[in-house]
Amino acid sequence: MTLGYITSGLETEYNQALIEGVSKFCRDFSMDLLIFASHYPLPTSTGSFYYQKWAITNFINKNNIDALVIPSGGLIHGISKQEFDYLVEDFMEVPTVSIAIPIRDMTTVVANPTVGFRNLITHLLEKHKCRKFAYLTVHSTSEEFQVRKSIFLDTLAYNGVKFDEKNLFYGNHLFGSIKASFERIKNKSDIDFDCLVCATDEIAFGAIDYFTRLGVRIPEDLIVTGFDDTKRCSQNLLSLTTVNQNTSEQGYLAAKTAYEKYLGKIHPSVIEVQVIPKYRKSCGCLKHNDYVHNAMDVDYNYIPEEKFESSSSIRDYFNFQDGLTKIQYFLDDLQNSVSLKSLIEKLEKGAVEIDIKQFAICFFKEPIQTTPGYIFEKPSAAYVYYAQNSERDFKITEDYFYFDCSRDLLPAAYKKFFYGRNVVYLLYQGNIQYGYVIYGLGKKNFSLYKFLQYVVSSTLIESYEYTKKELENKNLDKKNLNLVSKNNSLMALSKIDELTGILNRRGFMLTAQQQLSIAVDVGKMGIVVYGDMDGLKYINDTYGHDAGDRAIIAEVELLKKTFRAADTFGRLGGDEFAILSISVSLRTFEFLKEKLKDLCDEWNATSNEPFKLSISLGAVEFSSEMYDLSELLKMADEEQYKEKRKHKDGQRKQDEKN
Amino acid sequence: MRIGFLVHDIDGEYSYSLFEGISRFCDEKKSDLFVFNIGTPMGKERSLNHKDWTLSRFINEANVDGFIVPSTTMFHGLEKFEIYNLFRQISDLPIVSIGCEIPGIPSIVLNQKKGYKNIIEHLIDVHKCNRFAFLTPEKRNEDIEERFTIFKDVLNEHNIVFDESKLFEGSYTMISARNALSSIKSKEDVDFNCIVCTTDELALGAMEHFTQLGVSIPHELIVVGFDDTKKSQYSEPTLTTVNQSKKSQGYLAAEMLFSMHKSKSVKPVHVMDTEGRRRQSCGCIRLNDYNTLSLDDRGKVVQSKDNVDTSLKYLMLQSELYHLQFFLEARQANHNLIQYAALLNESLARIKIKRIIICLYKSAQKPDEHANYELPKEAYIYFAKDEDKNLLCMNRQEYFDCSKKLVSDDFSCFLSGKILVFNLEYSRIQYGYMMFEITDVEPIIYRLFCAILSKQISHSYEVGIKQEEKHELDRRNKELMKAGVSLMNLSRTDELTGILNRRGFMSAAQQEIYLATDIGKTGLVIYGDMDGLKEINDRYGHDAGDRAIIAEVEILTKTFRSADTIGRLGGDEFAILSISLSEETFGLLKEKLEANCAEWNRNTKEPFSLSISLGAARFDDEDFDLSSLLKKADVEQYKEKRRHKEERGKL
Repeated sequence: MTLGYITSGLETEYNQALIEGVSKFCRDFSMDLLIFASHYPLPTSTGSFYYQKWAITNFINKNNIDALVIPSGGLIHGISKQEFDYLVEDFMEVPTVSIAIPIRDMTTVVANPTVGFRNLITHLLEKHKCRKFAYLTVHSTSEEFQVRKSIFLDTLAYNGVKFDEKNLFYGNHLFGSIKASFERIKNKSDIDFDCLVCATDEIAFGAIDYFTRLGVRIPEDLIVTGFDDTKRCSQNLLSLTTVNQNTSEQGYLAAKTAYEKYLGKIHPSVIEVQVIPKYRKSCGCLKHNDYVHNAMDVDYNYIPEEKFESSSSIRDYFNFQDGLTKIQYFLDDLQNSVSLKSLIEKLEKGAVEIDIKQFAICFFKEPIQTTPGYIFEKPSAAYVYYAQNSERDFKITEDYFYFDCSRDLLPAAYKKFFYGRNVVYLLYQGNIQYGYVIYGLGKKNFSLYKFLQYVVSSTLIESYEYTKKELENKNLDKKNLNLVSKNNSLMALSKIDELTGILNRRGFMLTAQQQLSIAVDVGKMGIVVYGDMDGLKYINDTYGHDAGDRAIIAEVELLKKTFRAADTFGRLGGDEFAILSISVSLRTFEFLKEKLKDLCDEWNATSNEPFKLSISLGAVEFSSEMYDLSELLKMADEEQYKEKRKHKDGQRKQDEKN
Repeated sequence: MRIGFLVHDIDGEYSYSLFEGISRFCDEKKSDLFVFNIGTPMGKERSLNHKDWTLSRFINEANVDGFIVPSTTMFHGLEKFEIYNLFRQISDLPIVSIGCEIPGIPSIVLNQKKGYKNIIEHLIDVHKCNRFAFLTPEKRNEDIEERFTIFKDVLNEHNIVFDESKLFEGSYTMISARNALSSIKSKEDVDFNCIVCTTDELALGAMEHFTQLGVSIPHELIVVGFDDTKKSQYSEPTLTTVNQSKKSQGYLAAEMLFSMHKSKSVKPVHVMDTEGRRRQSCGCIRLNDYNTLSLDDRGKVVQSKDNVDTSLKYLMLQSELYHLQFFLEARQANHNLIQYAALLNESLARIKIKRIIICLYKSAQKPDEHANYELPKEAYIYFAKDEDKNLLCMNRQEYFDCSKKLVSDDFSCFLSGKILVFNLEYSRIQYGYMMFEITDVEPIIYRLFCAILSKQISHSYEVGIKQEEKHELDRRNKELMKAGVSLMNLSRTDELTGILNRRGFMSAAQQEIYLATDIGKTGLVIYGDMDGLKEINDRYGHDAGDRAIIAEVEILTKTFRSADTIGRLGGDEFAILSISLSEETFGLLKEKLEANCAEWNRNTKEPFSLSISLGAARFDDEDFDLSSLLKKADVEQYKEKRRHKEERGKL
C-alpha cells in the first residue's frame, strides 16, 4: 500500500522531522510513501504563482495513494482554517490523518505542551533558582502561542512567583526583528530579570544575539530558553535549552493511524504526543567547554544526539556543500545541452550522483494555462517522456502513449518501478503547467533535493520551450518551402494556356522576350513567327466550340512537330499563335512552312474529324537592332496576313479553276 | 592596487582558502581584487585549453597591477620553464606563484617536511606503528615525490625497513585508491598497521576500502593523509593529515605582490611551514568525541575558525540557496535577452549580489578548444547594476573594445572591491563574461549563481535567435502568401481584358453554382460569341481585333450586374454566370446589350462595329455541371447567331 504526505517544503526542518517519522513507519511496515511536494496555500491575491504549487494535490486520489497524512500545522499559513477545510475536501476519499490542527473530522495528532513546558519552567525555578522572569512571544493569533503563554504564567503562579507584566515582550517570527522587541532595554543595566523564556527557538536566538551585543553573558548573567528544539539548538556553540515537540514521533504516529484507519480501525479524534524539555548550555546545565554531550533530560541524564537522516550536524553541513558542488557540476554539464533529449542524458548521469534511483518525467498532452485560484483543471492526458530505475535496469524514453493522468500518475506498467519513497512535483512556470516529475527521494540532505527540483524544473521547461520553438520554426520553414513550390507552379500556371498547355500570351511575351534578349546578347539570330489558323470560325460555327477546341489542340501538335522542341510556342488569342525560333533563318522558315503544310495535309487525310486544318504563318528575323517582341510580332502578323491573302487568292484561283 | 588572482573555481576549497588570505590583505590595504574564475586551462596531453584560457586576456595593465597564480594546481603537468613562458605570454606585470618555485618569478613554496615528518614520527612514537604501507599516485609531481622521500627518510632514521611490496600506486582520485588496493581482498591480507597516503583523497579512498573489509580504523589500522581538506574534517572517522596554511599563503602572496608593485625587492622564494593535524584516524581523538576536533603537532586543540558556529553558516547557506531557488523560479522560458534583463533586475534583488556587470559579445563565439583563437573585440554592457549607488543599465547597445579592458571607461567605477570575473558560456559557445562583487556568501552559492546565469543568458540568447528566425519566417510566409494570391489571380485572369480567363471562370463559376444550388437558387449560364471578329482581324489587323474584344467586354460588363461572373473562354468567346436571373429578364438584358452595342457603334471612331450573340442554359440542383451547361448555352447561342445572320440577310 502507498501512504501519501503533503509537504509545504522539503527544506523545512518541521517537514524533515515529520517525513523522518512517517518514513520510519513506512519502512517498518513495508509501505510505499508518496510525498506531494507543494507549498502552503497562500492567498492568491499575493500576485505570485505560488498557488500553482498546490496543483500537485490534484493527484491525491485512491488510485495513487491508500491513505494520507496532512501536516496541517505546516500548511495553514495566511489562509483561514475554513478555507483550508474546503481545499482538502476532495482528499477525504482516502483515510486521512491531520497533524497539529484538527481538520474536518480527521483524526489529529497533536503535541501536548503542558507537561513538558511546565517541567522546563519548574527546572528553571528549582535548579537555577530563577525568580525574575521575562517572556518573549510573537504577535500571532495562533492558539498554540496562547497555550504556551498560559502554561508559563500558570506554572509561575503555582510556584508562587510573581510575573511582572512589563517583562512580557512581543516580537516577529524572524531572528533579525528581535531588536525592536526590547526597546525598553538599551543597556546591560536595564535588565531586571534573570531568565528569559521564549515562545520559539528562532526568537530565543535573536534575543541571545541582542543581549550578547549588550555584553550580557549567557547563562551566567541571563538564562535564555526556547521552544521547538530546531536543529540549531544543539549545534550552536551556545546550545539552547528548549522543548522538543517530538515531531518525528508525531509523524510516526500519524502514519500509523492512517494505516490503521485504512485497515478499518476506529480512532479517537485526537492523539497526543508529549513534548520533551532539553537542558543545555543556555541554562547552564551543560558546561561551555562540553563538546561531547547533546542535552540533559528532566532526570538529568544525558540524551544522546538524535540521528536524523536529514540532520544538520557539522558533518552534514560539509556533506551539504559537497552535494551542492555535485549539483553545480551537474549544472555545468547541463550547459552542453539545450534540447530535451540531450538534457535527459545528463539527468540520467546526475541522478545517481545524488542518490536518486528512479525518476519519471511526464508531460501533459498540451501545457495547461491556469488562472489564479485553487481550483485546477484536471489534466486528462499525459505521456511519459522519460522514466528510469537504475536499480531495476529499467528505462523508457519518449513514450508518446497518452494515459489518463487524472486517475493514475503513471501507467500501471511503470508504476511498479516506483516503490519506496517518492516525491512528485509539478512542472510549471508562471501560470502554465507542463507536467510533473516523480523521483525517488534518496538519502542526501532534503534541501538538496528541493534545490534540484528547481534546477530540473527550470531546465526542463527551458528545453521544452526551446524544442517547441525549434519545431515551430521547422514547420514554418517547411510551410514556406511548400508555398514557394506552390507559387512556382502558380507562376507557371499563369503563363500557360489551359487548353493547349503551351504558353499563353502573357507567358509567351515574358519568356520569349527574355530568350530573345539573351540570344541577341550572345550574338545569335533567329525568327519570330506569327500564325493564324484558317477557318477556325467556320469550324466553331459549323461543328460547335468543342470541335473548335479540338482543332486548336491538333494545330498546336502540328506546329510542335514542325518546329523544334527547344523553340518557344505561345497561343496569343483564339486562333493566333506565335513561335520564337533561335538560330533559324528566314530561308529555313520557308522549308518549315512546306513541312507544316505537308503535316496538315497528312492530318487532314488521316483524321476522323469533319474539318480540315491549315494555318498561315508569317515570320521576321530579329537582330541586335530590332529585338522588341511586340514590334516583331506585329511585323510577323503583317507577313502572315500577306501569306493568308496568298492562300485565299490561291484558293480562289483553285476554286475558279474548278 | 589592483590584484589579479587566477583560480580554477572560486568554490574550490584550495582556491577559496587562498582567496580568503588574499582578501584579508586587500581589506587591510584597501586594494581591489579581481578573481578570474578561469576553469581548467590545462586540457589533455599537456596542452592549453584555449576555451577556458580566454579570460586570461584580461590580465593586463588596463585591468590589474599584478597577479597571483596557484601554479601547481593551475598548470598541472607543465614544466617550470613552460609555466614561466606562459606567464610572460600573458603580460609583463608582477607575478607571484603559489605552490611551486618558478625561476624568475617570486614564489611561495611549502616546507612539506616539517609537518609530514612530525606526523610520521608521531605514528612511530605515540601509536607504535612499525609496519608501514604507502599509497601514492603513480605519476608523481615534485611535491608528491618529495613526500615519498620524506616518508622513507623518517623510517630510515628510526631503523624501520620499508617493505617495497607495500607501496601502492593509484592516481589522484578516491576510486583510484580503491583500485590500487584491490590486491588486498580480506582483513587477513592486511599485514601492516599503518598506511601513509600522499593526499587526503587517497587516504579517504583507503579508509573506505578497509572499512568495507571490516578493518576497524584506527584500532586495527591507522590511516594518514596530506592536505587537511574539508573532507578530512568530516569523514568518518576524521582523518589525521598535514595542514598547509593556505590562508597565510594567500595573504603572503598578496603582500609580496604589493611590495613588488611599490618597486620594493622581495625574496625570490618564501617557504611556508606545514603542520600535522591529529584526528580520529590515528587514534588521538576518541571516536565519540566532538567530531571536528583536531590537535596540532604539540597536541594542542586547534581552534579552527571554520568550526565556529557551523550551524549558523549552515542556516545561512540554506537561506542563500532558498534565494537562488527564487531566481530559478522567476525565470520565464520564453524570454529573450531583452525581456530577461528586466527579470534579472527583479530577481537579483533577492540574492546578495549588489554589484554586477554582464558584458556580451556582439555575437556569440564558438572557440575551438584546441586552437588559439582571437576573441571578439566588440562587446556591450548587457546588464549593470549597483544597488548601493542606485545605478542600473540594461541593454546598452553601444560597443566598446573588450580586447583589453573589462568594461568601457564609464563603467570602471563598478569595478572596485572584490570582483569575480566569470565566462558566460554554454554548449561550448561563449556569449560574454560577467563580473560581480564577492561578499561573505558561501562560494558555492557564487558558483551556482554563475552556472545558472550562464544557462539563462545563453537560453535567452538562443530564444532571441529563434524569435528572430520565426519573425523572419513569418514575414517570408506573409510575402509568399501574398505573392501566391496575386499569382493565383494572375493565373485566372485574361491578360488582354482583365476579366477571368477560361481557367478562372471555370473554377469560380462552378463554385458559385454549387453555393447557389445549395441554398436552393437557380440561374443562367450564358455563352457569348462576338460576331465578325475574324473579319475585323483580317481586315484591320490583330490590334484592331484586340480593341474590339476589350470594347465588347466593357459593353458586357455594363449590361450585366456587377455580381455576375464574366469570363473570356477563348478568342471571341465569353461566358457569364448570372444567379437568380429569369428568362424574361435575360430577354430584356439581350435587348439592353443590343442597345449598348448600337450606342457604341454610333459613337465610336473605330472602322468596325460590334455585336454579340448570347445563348443561355438554366442551372438548378439537378443540372449544375458547368461544362455541360456551357455546351447547352453554346448551342442556344448558335441558334441566336443564325437568327442574327438571317435577319441581316433579310436586311
